Formats: sequence, structure tokens, C-alpha cells
Amino acid sequence: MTTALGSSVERIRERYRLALDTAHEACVEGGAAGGLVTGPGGYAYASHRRLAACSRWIAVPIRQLVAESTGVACVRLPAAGPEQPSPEFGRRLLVAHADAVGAVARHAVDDLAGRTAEGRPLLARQLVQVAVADAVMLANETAGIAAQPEADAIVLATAFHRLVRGGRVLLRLFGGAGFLRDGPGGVLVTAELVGTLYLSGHRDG
Amino acid sequence: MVDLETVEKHAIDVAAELRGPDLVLDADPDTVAAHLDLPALRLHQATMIPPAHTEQPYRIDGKAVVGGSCLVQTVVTERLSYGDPGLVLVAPGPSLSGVVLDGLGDAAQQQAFYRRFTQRFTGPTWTFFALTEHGKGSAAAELETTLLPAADPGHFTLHGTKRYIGNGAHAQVGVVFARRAPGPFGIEAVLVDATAPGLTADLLPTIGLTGARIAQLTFDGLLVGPDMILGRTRRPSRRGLLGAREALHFYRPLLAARAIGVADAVLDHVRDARGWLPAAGQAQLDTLRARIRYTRDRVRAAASAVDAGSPPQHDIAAGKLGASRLAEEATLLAVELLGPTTLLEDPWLAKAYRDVRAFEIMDGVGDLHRLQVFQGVLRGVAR
Repeated sequence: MTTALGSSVERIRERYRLALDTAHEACVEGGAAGGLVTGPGGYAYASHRRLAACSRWIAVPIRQLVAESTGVACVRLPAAGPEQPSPEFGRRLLVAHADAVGAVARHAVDDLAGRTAEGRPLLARQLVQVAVADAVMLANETAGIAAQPEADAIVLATAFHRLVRGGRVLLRLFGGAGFLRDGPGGVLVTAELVGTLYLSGHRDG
Repeated sequence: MVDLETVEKHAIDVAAELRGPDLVLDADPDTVAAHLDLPALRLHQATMIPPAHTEQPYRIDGKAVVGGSCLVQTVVTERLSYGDPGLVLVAPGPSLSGVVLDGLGDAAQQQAFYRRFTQRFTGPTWTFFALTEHGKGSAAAELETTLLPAADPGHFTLHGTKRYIGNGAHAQVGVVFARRAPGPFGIEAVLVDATAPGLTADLLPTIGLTGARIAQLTFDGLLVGPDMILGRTRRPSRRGLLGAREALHFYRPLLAARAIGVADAVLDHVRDARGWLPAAGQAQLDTLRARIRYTRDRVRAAASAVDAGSPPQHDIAAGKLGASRLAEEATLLAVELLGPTTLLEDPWLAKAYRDVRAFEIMDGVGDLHRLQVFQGVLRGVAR
């Protein structure tokens, strides 16, 4: 990975961390434990930076190597409040995840432009082009769903599960680089972990 | 010689011992040495060593397990991966390098290589198979690692970088594919001693399979003597690239078997953790089980064909792709069924959730295998 592409991934990570922390800031209820929105079981994900600022609260760190590579950590707050976060928090997380998928799709364009197979740029292959297009369309659609006030928790959960699958398809374009914690895979896995805690609790049937 | 059914039952029994050590290894890959006496790992190594190079066979009820068969390795790998795919990957043994040695190596090269896995050799031996390069993937014909002529006639120096190499960070020996001349037949398979000057291994921070210590290998002038070039007396078309292709044909059913083993384990894990499931969830689980049974049969049939010397490439590709996607679907379904805190409170499932993402990427991503199936359709042989 070149330095330019590496910094592109860091920008995606930074944007995701910022969106996660902003969601906490906007949705945390006054006096909530640690200044964090907690999910089921009293767990919470936030950036290292935000967690450090909330250190006066008793928080048990939960080791999550992949998330930590993205600058996000998980803690458990024994004094946690209500278990189900607000729909607004879920919407913001879903938008952050969709934004990360879209950014990774654009990163794929830059990365694959410099890679060749059988003498042709990988980006010239239809299979690659449609995979990028599918990812961008999915990201846009998911963000659009999240913006709808009618979208309830089940709709958001379903949209999250679709986004997880779409993100994985997108990562395959990177080959082995998609399996590295410090690559685009790291931030999308982190978004999966965060969404699993806060968004996936609602399942029909 | 022990029959396959007995080997499979034995593999199922010993796989249970991999649970526990798998999580320890995931947290600290350097603890692998503590687990090498597990029967599962000894069985796994035994299946990889051909009879001609077996000094003390692994025995089940007094009967010897015969190594070197793709089908036997596929069955054993699947059942051991039910215990843990990471430990199976990290186990010492000839692995893919052995397949290349079997196909291309002369008698002296094979003897020297397999001697490392006998009782007389002190300590376990790990191997690597260095084909993949960043930006080129597993496209053997396009690799850029180079053999340059050295001062001594017949000698070369090795230059270039290989990436995503399993066991690369700690293996003592391995096969490296490198270009000596332009074109597909300018590629050589070279047996390299990893302790030789001119090789640096850097661990890569992977999302899963951390125990496998996947690495980047950088070759900077490693000296290659004529005895290190596999199949050097053969025509260029019968060595190098051919070795890579044959090894991958042999390996793909094993990779599929790993994915099937994990998928099967994940579904049993859900059953044990949840007991009762709503009808929709149970139906999803049952459907995945049916797909696992189908894929297992298909992969085993392909492995038999590999042993028979007629690898059906489209079938192998379909099996590998189908199995790797099954493993991902099984872990995703498990998380959906077991709830939002599962990945934080269930370390075994959390590890499987990360590990299975590697299967599709290993040995070429899905599109390459889909295209292989398409080629089978064109030839009228794909089912």
C-alpha cells in the first residue's frame, strides 16, 4: 500500500471515529454513565479519545483488537442506563457505516487503478466495476433509509445486515489487503462490531 | 492401513481437544509450541507426508494412517477445523510446499525436505508457500519476484516481496515462486531455507487467523544454488508454474474443507447456545446444514478426482467458493440469532466470525472461481 492510499484509509477511519463520537454527543442522555450511549449489556463503543475524556466513570475495557486498530474501543459500564439506544443513535450509526462503505468503494477505485492482471488494470474489468457500483448504490440507499423517520428499529437492523454483506463483497476487491486490520477491512469490521451491538438487537421472528 | 471412515471418526474425536488452545493461540500466537503434542496436530501432519517419506506413521487402533492423499487430507482437515481452523493452519508440516516437492522435486530434494519431519530432526518444522504478491494476488504467471544471475554459474539471487504468506513469520523452510526469465515458463519454484541471509519476514496485522502468523517476506539477494531449484532437470513447461498450479489444485479442496468444518461447528454452536429457535431462524439453520452436506459431498468428490490425477477445476472452484461463503453466512446468521452482545461475550464465535473472512480471499477471490465455473459451463462439463 502506498503512503497516499494509507492516508486515504486513515481518513476513512478518522471520519468513522468522528461520526461515532458525534452520535454519542448528540444522543447521550444527561447524566448517562460515562457520557456514552450504552447498548445491550451495558457495553459501549467509542473512540479512544472520547473514552479517555469519560474516564471518571468505572468502565471495564473489553479487548477488541480490530476495533482498536481503527481507534475505537469497547467498554462495559456497570452503571449503564437503558439497554436499547434511541432510534436517532441507530440512524447516525447506520449513516456512519454507510459513509465508510462508500469511502472504501472510492478507495478501491484508487487502489485498483494501480493494479494489473493479464496486462490490464483491474479497474478495467466489468466484474470489478459493477462491484464498486453495487457498493456505492448500497451505501447511498442505506443512508437514505436511515434518514426516513418511518424507518423503525427492525428496518434499521435489516438495513444494517444488508450493509454488512455488501461491505464484505466490496472488501473482496482488495484481496489479502482486505483482511488486514490496518487496511479498509479494519474500519468496516469495526462498523460491523459497533452495529451488531447497537443495531442488530431487533429481529423479526 | 486404516480405512477412511475410521480416520474420520478419529479426527472428530481428537478435534475436540483443539477447543481451548484455539483461543489461547489467537490471543498470543507465540504459544503454539505448547500445543504441538496434541494428537490432532500430529494426525494433521501425518496426512501430509507421503508413505515413502514416513518414518513413524500415525496409528489408529494399531493401523497406519497413509499420508499424501488429497481426499484423506480433506476429510481430516474438515473434521479438525470443526475444532479450530487456526490451529490446523498453524500446525507444523510440509503443507503446500510438500505438494510442490512431490510434484517437482527430485529424489534428493524430497529426501532432504521430508527428513525435517522425522523423529531424527530436532523440533517441529513449519513451512511456507510463497506465491502471492501484493497487486498480483495468486496469479502465478504475473509474479514479479525475480531470480538474477549470481557470480557463480548456475547460481541466482532472489529479489522481491511476497505477501499474505501463512506461517511466513516463523517457518524454517518454504517454496518461493520467482521469475528467472520473461513469460509463463520463466518461473521457477525454489526451495528456500528461511534462516539464510537475504530474507526478512514481517508479521502482518490480520483481522483473523492470528495464530497463522501471516507475513510479508522480503527477499533481498538471498543466494539460490542449483540444488534449490525444484525440477531443474525438467523442461521449463514442466516445472515452476506447473508446480504452483498443481499445488493449488490440491490445496483448494483442503481450503474448502476448512470452511465447511467451521460452518458446521458454528451451526452446532448456535444449537447448543440457543436450544430452541423461532421457526424462521430454525429454517435458516436447516437450510445452511443442507448446503453444508451438499458442499461436503462435492468437495470430497473433487478431492478424490485430484487423487486420481484428473482435477476437475470447475468443481474444485465451485466447492471452494461455496464453502467459504457458507462459513461466512453461518457466522453472520449465528450472530443474528444469538443476539447483539454475542461478539463481546462469546469469544469462540467472535474468533470464528473474524477467521472465516480469510477463506474466500485465500487462494484467489470469488470472482476468479466463478469464472472457473463459467469455463466449465463453456466446455459443457460443469454440473
